[in-house]
Amino acid sequence: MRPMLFALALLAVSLPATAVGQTAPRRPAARQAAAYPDGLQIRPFISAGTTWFTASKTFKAVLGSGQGQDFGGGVNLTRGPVVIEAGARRFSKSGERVFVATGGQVFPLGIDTDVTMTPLEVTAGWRFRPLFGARVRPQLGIGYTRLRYEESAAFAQDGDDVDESFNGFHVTGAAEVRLHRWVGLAGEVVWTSVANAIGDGGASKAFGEDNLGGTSLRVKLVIGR
Amino acid sequence: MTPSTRRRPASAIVAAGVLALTVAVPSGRQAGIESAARVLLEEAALPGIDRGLAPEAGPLDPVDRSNRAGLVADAAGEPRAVYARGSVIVKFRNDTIPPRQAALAAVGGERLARPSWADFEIMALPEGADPEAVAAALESRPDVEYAQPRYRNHAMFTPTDPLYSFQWNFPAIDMERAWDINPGASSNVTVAVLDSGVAFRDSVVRYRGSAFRLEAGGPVYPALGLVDVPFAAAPDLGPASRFVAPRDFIWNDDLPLDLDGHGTHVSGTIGQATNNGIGVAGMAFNVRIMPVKVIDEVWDFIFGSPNFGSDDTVAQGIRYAADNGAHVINMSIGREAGGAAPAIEAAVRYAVSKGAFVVISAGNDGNGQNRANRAGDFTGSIDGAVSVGAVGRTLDRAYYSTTGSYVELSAPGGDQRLSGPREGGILQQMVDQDLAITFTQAPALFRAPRFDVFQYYFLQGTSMAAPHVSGFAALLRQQGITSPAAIEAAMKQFATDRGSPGRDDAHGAGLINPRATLRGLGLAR
Repeated sequence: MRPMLFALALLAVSLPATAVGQTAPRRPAARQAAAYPDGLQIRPFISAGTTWFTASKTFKAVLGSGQGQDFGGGVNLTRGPVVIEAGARRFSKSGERVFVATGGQVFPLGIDTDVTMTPLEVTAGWRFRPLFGARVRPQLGIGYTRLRYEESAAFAQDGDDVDESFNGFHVTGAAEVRLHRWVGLAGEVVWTSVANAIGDGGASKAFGEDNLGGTSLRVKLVIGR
Repeated sequence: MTPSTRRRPASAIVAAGVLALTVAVPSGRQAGIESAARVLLEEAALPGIDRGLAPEAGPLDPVDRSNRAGLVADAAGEPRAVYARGSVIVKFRNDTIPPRQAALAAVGGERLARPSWADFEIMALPEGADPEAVAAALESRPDVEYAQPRYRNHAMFTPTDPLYSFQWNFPAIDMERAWDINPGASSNVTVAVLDSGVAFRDSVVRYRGSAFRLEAGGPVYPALGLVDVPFAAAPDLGPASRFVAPRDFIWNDDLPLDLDGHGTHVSGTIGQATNNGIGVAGMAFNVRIMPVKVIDEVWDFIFGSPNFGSDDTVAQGIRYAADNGAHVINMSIGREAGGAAPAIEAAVRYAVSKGAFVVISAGNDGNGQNRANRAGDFTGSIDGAVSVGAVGRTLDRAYYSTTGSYVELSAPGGDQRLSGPREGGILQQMVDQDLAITFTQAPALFRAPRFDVFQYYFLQGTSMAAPHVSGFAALLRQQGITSPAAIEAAMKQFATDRGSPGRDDAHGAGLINPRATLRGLGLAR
């Protein structure tokens, strides 16, 4: 959550500048030029965020929490208002295997288990005109998710561990704040659905949860205009 | 329920209710006198004598388990393959490119890759290449320090007990891999054995033996008078410190000595000392055992025990075990005769409410009238108590195992009719039957028993199946499943389905699967 708080603080800092900007003389042509940089922009980024998993009971039972932090990066291509983004994130956490009794009571069994999720995301989006004097750029997007799910545990034998990939989709909403001509900081909300990825076994079956997606709040540091 | 043995008459192996049908001379039991009919003469005695495997059950081409791995195919992907195909491990003396490439080319390798943590490399081989031959070829090269196939390792917990090779019942339920996860529970877990007693201590006890008949119209056996009977702790059951809160409800004292062998055999399956280089193994070999004597056998009768194994005695034992900290209660006992057993049922409910998981054998009448064990046919309505049927070596229902809607799980109990007296039975240590069960001989040869000499016997029965489940419950408790209802649910959820698909009256939810249950659930699998 700390990166998110940092992003929100930056947004708050930007507001006084916006107020000043509203008092400036209107120059339509200049504003249009500032809204979308000319030509194709290739902008790498790194991200950090927190995901609240849809299968929260399952994650909480095995990993001790229904949410988790992830880190990632990618590249963001913009041309005018159109955005195409490709990125990857990685979530990894350790927990222990459990037994889920009738009624959902969880008994941890003390057997170490590691879960790693690596979503690859391709997003097509639309950048709206800048707000607040060209310092904040809202953006909406939708995209395809390819999620690699790995689960390993102590005392595993052949076929016990999991390493599979699943398809899903996501929708995003973001706001990017320009910190510098070449540096932007974006706050992003992502809702991801990777349905039918789990639920055939394990704690997810006991809880009747089958989706490896969730809702994420992320902060992105974007390099480029 | 009780096992079938070669020498013992039917009357000797059933609970007290049947014993009461024998025509017997008056004893303290009937008259309600001489309740203190025995005297503990010595707190200690000579240690028990271990005579090894019973003669009729001598070794017969025992399988050398150490060679098993060499017998399996070595194809890649097989769980017990000796080595993986498609690659070898190689370490070069000269860590430069030219010799590595030369070696690669010489043996037809495809590529080399060094794990980040290793000082050697993994050489990928074409499909079909013989890793052992390639490794030998590489080792012959001067620039190679060593090369070897990628041998597969496996669970190492195979008990060192010399007679373990006769215990098919443990591999049959995957116990070796289960022990890797939980090696025998711990002394924090207590299993109460409600039975004929347990050979848990050394002592010498003075009894008065009265004349008796075993059967109506049968010969009268002479009175022994006062006899000093030696007892010893079963050598393979472990130190005296593992026995807690012993109680004898047949003799009303704290000496639940086993004057039969059944309870000792059952205790062995639950927690025989394991990996000690002696005898055989047990399921949960680190638990504490609470010997609670609630049934009488023939010698108790001959010596005039004040009580017998009635429902109230059994109920008293159950409540005692629950009140004294038992986490698991094993009842390889019961009765087919008579009606329901509400006193026992109430006691079982009480024990479960106190946190004890109760295991009761389903009964051995499957080859007869298939009458239910009335001392356990109510467990289906209690989450935290189970009735256990028996399977033989083929993992199918044993011929004697009673079937019914109350059977909830199955476990190895042996099937000596199908697989033979040795291969088909459950092996554990108990008192030497030649020296203990002397009343099966002619009256002229009848003599006082001794209970300080032990042998290993193959028995069969749902009595032998139940302690597998009790030991399993102890492992689960140690692993973290502390609620009796959850233990039952876990056992059923992971049970291996046998017989008709789904639950059936022969196997219940199926054959217990300790390894899978102990390992529990991950997130997705």
